[in-house]
This record gives sequence, structure tokens and C-alpha cells, in this order.
Amino acid sequence: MNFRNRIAAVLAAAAATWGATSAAWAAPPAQASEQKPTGKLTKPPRLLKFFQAPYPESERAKAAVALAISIGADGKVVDATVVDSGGPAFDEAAVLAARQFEFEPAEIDGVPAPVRIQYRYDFVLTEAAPSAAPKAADFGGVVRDRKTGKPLAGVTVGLDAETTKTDENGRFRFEAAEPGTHSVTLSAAEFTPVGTEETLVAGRKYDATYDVDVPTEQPSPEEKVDFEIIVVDTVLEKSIASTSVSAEQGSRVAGTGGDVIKVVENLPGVARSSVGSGALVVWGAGAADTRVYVDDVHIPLLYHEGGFRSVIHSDLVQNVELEPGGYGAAHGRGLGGLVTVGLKPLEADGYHGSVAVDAIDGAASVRGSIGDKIRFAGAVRRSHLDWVLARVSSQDVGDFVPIPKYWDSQLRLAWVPRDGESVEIGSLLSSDRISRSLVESDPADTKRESKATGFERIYVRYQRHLDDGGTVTVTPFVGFDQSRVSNQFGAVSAVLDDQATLYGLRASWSGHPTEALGLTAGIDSEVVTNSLQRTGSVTEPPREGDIRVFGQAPSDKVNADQWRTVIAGLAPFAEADLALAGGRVHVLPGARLEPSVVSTSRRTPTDGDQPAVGLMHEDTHLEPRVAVRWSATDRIRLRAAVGVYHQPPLAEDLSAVFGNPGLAPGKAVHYLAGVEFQLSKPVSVGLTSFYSGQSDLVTRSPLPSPVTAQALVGGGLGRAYGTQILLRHDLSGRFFGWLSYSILRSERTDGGTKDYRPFDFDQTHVFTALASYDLGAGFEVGSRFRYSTGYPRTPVLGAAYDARTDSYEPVFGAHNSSRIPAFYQIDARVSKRFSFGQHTELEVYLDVQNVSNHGNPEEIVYNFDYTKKSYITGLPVLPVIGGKLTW
Amino acid sequence: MVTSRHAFTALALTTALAGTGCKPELEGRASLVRSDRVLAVQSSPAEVTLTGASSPAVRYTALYVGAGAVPDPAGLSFAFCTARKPLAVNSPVAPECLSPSGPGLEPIGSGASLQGAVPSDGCRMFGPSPSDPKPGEPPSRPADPDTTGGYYQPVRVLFPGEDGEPGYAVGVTRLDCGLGGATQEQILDFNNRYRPNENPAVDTFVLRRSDGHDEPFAEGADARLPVAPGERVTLQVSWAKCPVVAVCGDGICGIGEAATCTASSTGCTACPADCAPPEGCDAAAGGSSTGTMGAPASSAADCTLPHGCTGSEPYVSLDPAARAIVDRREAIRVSWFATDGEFEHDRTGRTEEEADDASSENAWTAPAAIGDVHVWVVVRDDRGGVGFREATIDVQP
Repeated sequence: MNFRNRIAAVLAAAAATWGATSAAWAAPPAQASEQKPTGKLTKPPRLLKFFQAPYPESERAKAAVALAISIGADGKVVDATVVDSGGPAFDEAAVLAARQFEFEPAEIDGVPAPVRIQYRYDFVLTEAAPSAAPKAADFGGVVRDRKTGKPLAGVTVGLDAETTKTDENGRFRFEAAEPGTHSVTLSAAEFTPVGTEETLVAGRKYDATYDVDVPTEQPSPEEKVDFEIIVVDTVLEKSIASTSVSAEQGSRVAGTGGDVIKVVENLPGVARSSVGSGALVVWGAGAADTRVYVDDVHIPLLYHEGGFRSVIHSDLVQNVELEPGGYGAAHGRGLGGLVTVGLKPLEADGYHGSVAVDAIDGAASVRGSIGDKIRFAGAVRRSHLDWVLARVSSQDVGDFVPIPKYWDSQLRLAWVPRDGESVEIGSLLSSDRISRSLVESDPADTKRESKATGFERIYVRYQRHLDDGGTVTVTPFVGFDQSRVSNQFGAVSAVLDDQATLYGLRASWSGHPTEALGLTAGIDSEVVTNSLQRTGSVTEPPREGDIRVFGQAPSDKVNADQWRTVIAGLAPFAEADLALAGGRVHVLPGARLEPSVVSTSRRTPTDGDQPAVGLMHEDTHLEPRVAVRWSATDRIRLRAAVGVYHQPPLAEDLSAVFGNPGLAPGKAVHYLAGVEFQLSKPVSVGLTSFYSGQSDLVTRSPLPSPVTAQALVGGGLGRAYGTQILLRHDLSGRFFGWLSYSILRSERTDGGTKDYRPFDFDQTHVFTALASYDLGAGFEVGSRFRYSTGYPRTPVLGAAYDARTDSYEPVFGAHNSSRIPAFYQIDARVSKRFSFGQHTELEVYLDVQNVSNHGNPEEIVYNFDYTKKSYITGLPVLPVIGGKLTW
Repeated sequence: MVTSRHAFTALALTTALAGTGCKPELEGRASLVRSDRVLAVQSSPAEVTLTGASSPAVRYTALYVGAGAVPDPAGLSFAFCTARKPLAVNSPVAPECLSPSGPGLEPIGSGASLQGAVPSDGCRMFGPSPSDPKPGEPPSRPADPDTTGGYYQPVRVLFPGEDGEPGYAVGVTRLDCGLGGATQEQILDFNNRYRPNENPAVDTFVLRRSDGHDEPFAEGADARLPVAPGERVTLQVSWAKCPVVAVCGDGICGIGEAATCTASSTGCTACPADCAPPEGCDAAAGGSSTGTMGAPASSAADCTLPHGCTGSEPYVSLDPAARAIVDRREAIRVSWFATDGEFEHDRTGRTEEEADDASSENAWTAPAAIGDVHVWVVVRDDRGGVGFREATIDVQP
């Protein structure tokens, strides 16, 4: 409990204590003949100015000092003497204070006259009332003209029913706003009233910027007046190198078909995936090393097979954030990056929905509320490309090109009992099917492939914004992942079937115990049980690092295995945000304790009737992470981060026949440093350099005769280093876009060696330039240019004839010592919006990939004896016409 | 083999098999012989059993051909490959065996046909019986069998390639190494019923004209038929129809048959007529001829082996997924080669399910130029057995 020195002055008693013995010691000259003076007090002195005596520092007890104060005829104090002492310190303080008093002078016989009074000065020590937890938010900001950036004065800003007007600087303020969710409206004579919702947390200060389109002429019905919000808040910033893109921007990027999440492929640090692959390779890490979350729910992949669409409908997405490395302690179990898809908060603003269709798929979404407290949203999407191609193509395309068939759906139901608290139940479903057959005259050359994957998640999400500014989030979820890949090369079949059940729980609290300290603590637990079956060659499916030629038949040396695994982790984590130097420097130390258990049903291959003996091992790792952010100036911000990460082995690598049940988790250490310049309000440029060192990676055993149950071994090394630049123009006015460039090198070693070779997905240079411009009248155009270095490949020096199979097998040169030629492509998009009423809109778009029809080499192919080579080229010009009706 | 079709350009998806966007035309057909090549390597017998320290003798015959004159077989060099290749390498042999010499090679000799002794440790090196581990060390991982449950001793054949660079071909001898990772009952069942592989052989080689008239090629040097320039004909090969159920006295030592049966041999049928060494087989003199294309006398081991069927043989193997002994039939692949003209397919064949159909055919279009066109047909079963036949087509007006 804090004590403050306070003095409780008792003033009223002073007037009552002056004694009857008070007498005038200076009387005005009397008029002799006309009035005989009586010497009576006709008006007592009145204290006009009190002076507070400082509480003596040495004293902790209360005291009272009786003073005799002589007051002159002018009301000023002539003298003050101690009549009854309260102690030397108190006496001195009281006398000094009393000599500063000023009085309205007393009157004797109606004439101001000097008097002497007795005055009691009380010194009282009280405990200070504890500073109450802030119960309100400080909500302010500025309203500007979006085109000119000039502040708008006289705009009425409403916070629910409360209103205020912007001053001459366009600024407004609500000093004591109730925490919770409020509707904010802006209205003025110059523009149509607009509104949004803000969620305010007690104890925080908000500085919002509202940029409003002020039409210079009467807007036509098709034009929509909208505005942009940039909210600056002192929230705990967890990420140092992240790039976040709003749904509004993401849906407009050319080449993405309006899919918000596809924009991730255009962010710095992300390698270009080959055509037909939705693999996400971030900062040189394998696709399985990057974790993907939808809010707090972990999902296994971001895109459907073929990479055409993401697995979450864009209407439900608020933003998507990519952290290629160096992320905070709240997440783990991945050596690569982190992708977080943020879902839109559910609102009670009527019923809305959309229907969209193009050549690839059809989708629908709906959202609404039942009263104010029950809110819901849902979406479904299904592909129909196979149906379309069957009707427009002149040959059975499916025989040669695997056509993906997919669907996905999301369902959300939320109960909002009060402002700042919500309970949401949701489901995320996804399914992919792909199959193809190539029948040849030689049965041994007949090829069949099929792949069926999918996942299901059911989650409950409880979130509450506390009165002290904290936030509590609890998200338990259960999930099912299915994957069955089946290939047949002649008589050689390869099957990998993996059925997984997941149980997860993420719970966290974040808050600001003090103005300079933010804290986040929580727990991240996940238990995954897998049931797997695999038959076929050890080399099918191939692993990163396997030397092979595109389309090469796998080895016909086959085996089979069935096994079950349990991989469990329970990771408490904590992270702080220390604001130093007046908030210019933020230090974010964090730590994550990652104990994990890996259990396998068989430690050795099946051998006759011998019973299966399982294997279980436990690992515990402490993962320290620290980041620093320094706002050197208002426009320049520097950042750096270091972090340790671990990733448990994949269940499919724990086979005693094809892998190794004893694999240990892999490890990575991320280092990054960067600087960001805010050139102007919407324009920024960021430069980030990074290094990621990996160890204990899983690789093939290098031994010609591996040890039993060790076809795979740990001990592989990896490293990735490079620099990325992002020049970004946020959505402002009619335009947004960015240029991103990364130069990086990612390498691996293979089992048993320390010699690094290029990672299979290494891309030295990746450049993306994209832009979108609103032409007005509902028209919008966009374009994207991409350039990337080709993937490494191992050159073929010759071939040997396999007389048993009548085929030639390549003889390879140095591992990954050559490359596919570089890729470049231009995509374009044009759209037209038609508005029908306030909320109904029809958008028609044409999204053309590879406008220039440039044949980009995607893979190297050889003739039958490997004496000639050429390239398979990727997508030719691909126009996709689509439409979306929103209401 | 590369197909020459283009996918519909509306989309393109990379797969592990083939076909993305546009696939280019690449030069060369496997069926067109334009240079000196090895088209097949036959091991006779096709399969041997390694017992103890024995090194059974095997005869290797290479089908070594050229676009013009028959190339000099003295340039062929045979060697056993004794190095095991790493698991992830798809090559038929360890990379170090694709060299003229080295520590992983045991030379056999030179020539088109020669005899060698299969290394006795083949089942440890390439089979399910790895070497005993050193004290304190875990055992080595056994080699995986092929889809027929077989293990193979690779044989490297070096021949003069183009531009002075050596060319390499790899043949095999199948090794009967027994079963790995099976139960005792399965091992007994397998041992009782498994019969070593027999090389397939071409029974008939026929030219069918467009009017449906069949003309068989004769054996040996008299295998010659005329065809008009540009004429499209059908070539057909056939092989023996193998009985699914063994019948004693049919001349084939089939599943469940043996020269003698012991009391513990369940499911065994004693059939010395079919399973005893062949008549006239003089083991000391090297035995009787069992090869094709007039191959010289077979190895002594051939005399001790009962004969199988030279077509799609039935056999037993361990299904690794079901972990059960299953009855199988050999698939037969036919490779077609010619020095000119064009085959419709480079390879044809019959799957295991089509095993009752003991023939395969292919269309061939004669070139415009007149002259001799050499044609070879190679039949392979999926247990490593090989047979081949040669003929000459006289292209004349």
C-alpha cells in the first residue's frame, strides 16, 4: 500500500478558536466630537488565502500546533507565534505557513483594524487511496480527407450515443470511453455518414485515423463512399518480421482469383511453388516445417491440391499474416515460418452473404445474427473444373493432367453475452481428391495415381477482454486428418495411408500490468495419434534430397509396414513487452518450454511371429526467444530477434521399415535483423536480413547396408540466409501495391556428411511486383509480375541400361549442381462492380495468369536413354472469368 | 519412354508421373537401333540357390546388336557387382559398379557368352540375410525384395559406347534366398512350393500381313521374310502356356512337385519324371543346351535343376502387406527392336491377370528404303528371366 504525505487542514475551526481576549492593538483615529469609540469587534477577520504547510519528512505521526496570529488592518499577517507546540518540526512548518495567510481584515467599530487571533493548525497523515485500475479507455484520433490527407474540421464523431466534433486540426477525443465494442459514426454535410465498430479496452489510449472519401461532385449510384481505418494502439506487438495483409487488399491481387490467402505466395521470403503444387516454402524451410493456424486452430495445409485455392473462404478472413521466422514464444513445433489466418469478428449487423462462381469452383457464404447476442457465419465451396473440362475439351484431359476435385466448408456460431466476451463454436472442413491413369501398351509402363486428403476441425473459442485491459483466450479443438496417396507404376505399387486424430488446447492471457510492461502467458498443447500403412519402395514417395529425374519410375524393391504413433506436447509459454525510453524501445523476452513425447507401436520391423515391441521417448527443450524493437524516429524503426525452435518428427518417418522409430526432434535457431522506414503515411520500406541454422534434420541413412530400423537417421544439417526487401504502398485512395525481393541461399547436408548442397527448393532470387488501382465507376485493374530463380536439379551425365527391366537409369553428376531456367510471368486482373442498393453488389472479374503466354520451364525431361533433354513448360495463358454477388 | 501428346492448355499440374502444361517431343525411340547396343542379358539358369559356400556356375549371354554389321563381342566385359547400393539410389547397381574396374567388381570375362561362378555371399549382400552384426551393434537392415519377392546378383556388362565413352548394361541372376521376416509355417510352405524361375522362350515369331495371312519366321539364320516398302504388317510372338495346376508327367516341375518328397514336406507331390535332372544332362561335361538362339552348352548347375515352364509361370511369394504366401503368375513383357522402320509400340506385354494369353503383337511399318532390316524381340518375365529371337525383314518392292 502506498502512503503519501498529505495534510488535512481544518479551516473552519480556526475562526472559532480565536479568543475573547483578542483585542485591537492598533485602532483607527476616532472622530472626537461626533462618535465615542466603543472598541467592539464589529467584523471578524476572514481567511482569504490559505497556505499549505509541507508535512515534515521526518514525522510520521499526526500533530496540532496552536498559533497566535497578528493580523494587520490590511489583512496581512504581521506575526505568528507558537502558543502550544506540536513539536519543533511541526511548529516551524505551521509558523512558516501561517505567515503566508491573507485575511479580509477585521473591523472594530466598523473600521478595519489590526487584531490578534488564535489559530490551530492540524497535521494529519492518511494512507493514499490505491490508484484504481483504469476503468475507461482514452479514444481519440483524426478525421482526414483521403485524397488530400488534410484534416476535416467540424465532423461529428459519434461513439454510440455520445458525440463530439473534430476541431480545426480534425482531431476528436473521448477521454473516458466505456470499454467494450462501440459503433463509431462519422457524419458531415460533405459526405454520407459512415460507420464502423471499435473494440476499446480499459486503460488503453487509442489514436485512430479515419480517411474519408469526400466526393468533389455528386457521387453516382455506382460509386461507393468508403473509408479506411488505421488504428494505432499500444498493443503487445509479438512479431518482428511479419507481413500482414488485410482481406480487402488480398482479394484484389492479380493472379489469385480473389482468394485472400493466396496473397501469401507474393510476400517476401516465400519461394515460388511449381505449377500445380500448393507447397509453402518460407525462408528455405520445408513445406512441412511451416505451421498454419486459423486463429488458434492448427490446420495441416493452407491450399487445396493443385494450389488453385486456399482452404478457407475469403469472406470469413480478416487478414493473413506471414512470419517467416523469429516468431514469438506463443507458437512452436515448427522449424520454418508461421502463417496465421485471422477470421473476421462476427457482427450483429443484419444478414449478409455472397455467391461466387468461376471456371474452377463455386462458393457461397452467409452471416447474420439472432438478436444481438447470437451471431453466425458459414461458407462452402466446391470445385467443378472436372465438369467444365469434360464439356469444353476435345480429348479426355483427365488421362494426362490430374484434375483436382475439392470442397471446403466453415461454420461459426458465437454467443456474445456482454461486450468484450464471446464464446464461439466452429468447424473447418476440407477435402481433396485427385486421380489419373496413363494406360500404355506395355503394362509395366501403365501409371495410375490417386491422392485423397482432407482435414476436419471442431473448436470452441472463448475470449474475454478484462476490465484491467487484459485478454483471456481459451481454444480447445479436436481434429481429424486423412491422407491416402496411391501410385502404381506397372506392377510396382506404392501406398501411404495416414489417419490422424488431434486434440489441441491453446489458452493464453495477455495484459498490461503497468504502462511499460505487457505480458502474455499461456499454454499450447497438442496430442496427435496416427495410424499409418505404407507399402512400396523406400524411395516412393521421394524425400527432399533424393536424387531423381522427373517422371522416373521408383525402385521395384518393395516392403510394407503398419504402425501407430502418438506425438504429444504440452508447452507453457510466456512473453513480455518492456517499453523503455519512453516507449521508443520495446524488448520482448520470451520462453517456451517444450516437453514432448513420441511413441511408436513398433521399434523393429515385423519378423515372423515375434510380437511387436513399441518405443517411446521423451524430450524436453527450453526455447528462449527475444526480440527488440526500437523506434529511432517517428519514421524509422529497427528490429532484431533471436529464437530457438524445435519440431517433432513426422509420424510417417517413424516406421521401423521405411524410417526410424527413434528419431529425435529437429532444431533451428533463427537470427534476424531489420529496419523499416515509413516514407509517408501509406508508403513504407522494410529490409530484413536473416539466418536460420538447423540441426538434427531427418535424412536418408548414408550406409549401403543401414542398421535395422534406421533407414532414416537424424543428424542432418541445414542453413538458410539472406535478405528481403519490401516496398509497400498500403491501400490509400485508389491504389495499393508492393515490391518484394528476396535473395537467399538455403542448403542441406545429407546423412553422414558435412558438405552442404543446395536445398531442393532453393530459389536464389524471388521478385514480385504487384499493384491494384481503382479507376472509379466501379472498375478496378491490377497486375502482378513475378521472377524467380529456377529450382536446383542434379545433372544427368549418362545412363546405364537395366537389362532386367529394359529401361535406362540415369547416372548423375554433382547433387543439385544445375538449375531449371528462371521463371517470369505477368498476371492481370480487371473487375467491375455494380451496386444495387446499400449492401448489394455484383462483381465481375477477369483474372488472366501468364498474360504474355511465356512458356516457363517447370521440369526437365529426357528421352529414353538420357541422351537428349528438354523442358516441360508450365501454365500457358490462363483466363478465368468469374462473378460474385454480395448482399 | 516419352509420350508425345500435349495436355489441354487450360491448366497444367505437376505430378510425379508426367504431363505438365506442354510436354516436348524428344528424339529417339527405344525400339529403333541406331548404334551398338546391349538389348538383353540372359542368365542361364535364370535362378540359382546359394547354399553354404557354394558358388554355382551360370552362363551369361548378351544380345549385343548394332545398326549395321554385328558388333565385335570381344568388346563386351562382364563382372559381378559385389557392392550394395544405398537405399535411396534407384540405379540397378551401386554407382561404383558402373566403371571399368574397381573394388566392387569381380571380373568374369569377355565375349558375348561366358560362364561365371555367382559369389556365394549374394544373399547376404543383396538378400534378406545380412551379415552377423559385430558384438554390441544392431543387425543390418535386410535388402528389400522386388515385387515378385526376388533378390538378384547384378552383373555389369561394359561395351564400347559412342564417342569412345564406355557403355554400361546390367543383367541379373535371380537368387533363391528363401523368405525374410516370415513365420516358420510360411517358410515351410514357401520352401515346399517355390520353384526356381525358368527363362521365357519365344515359341513362335510370326509376321501377319494386312490380308491376315500369317508367315512364321524360321529359327536361326533362316529367319527371313520379305515386306514391301512402307507396308504395314503385324509381328506376333508367342510363348508356352504354363499350367496353373501342376500335372506330373507334363515335363514341367511345377508348384508342389519335387523329385522326392520327405515326410515333412506338406503339399509335396513326388514327380521324378518332371523334377529329376533332364535326360542326357552330363553335369561333368557341362550339360545339355537349354538356352535360346543357339546358345552354347549350359552350365553344370542347369543339370541339377528341374525344368520350369518357358512362359508365364505360376509361383508363390510372400505378400509384404498381407504377410501371407500368395499364388502369382508371371507377367511377360515384350520389347521390340529394329534397325529401321517404325513400331507402333516400343514395348507390349501381358499382365499377371492376362497370363493365360500367351502372345503379344505389335504393328510395324516398313521403311521406304529397300534392304535388310534386322528385327529382335526380347521376352522378359518379371522374375528376371529373359529370352530373345532375331529375324531379318527383306524390304523389297
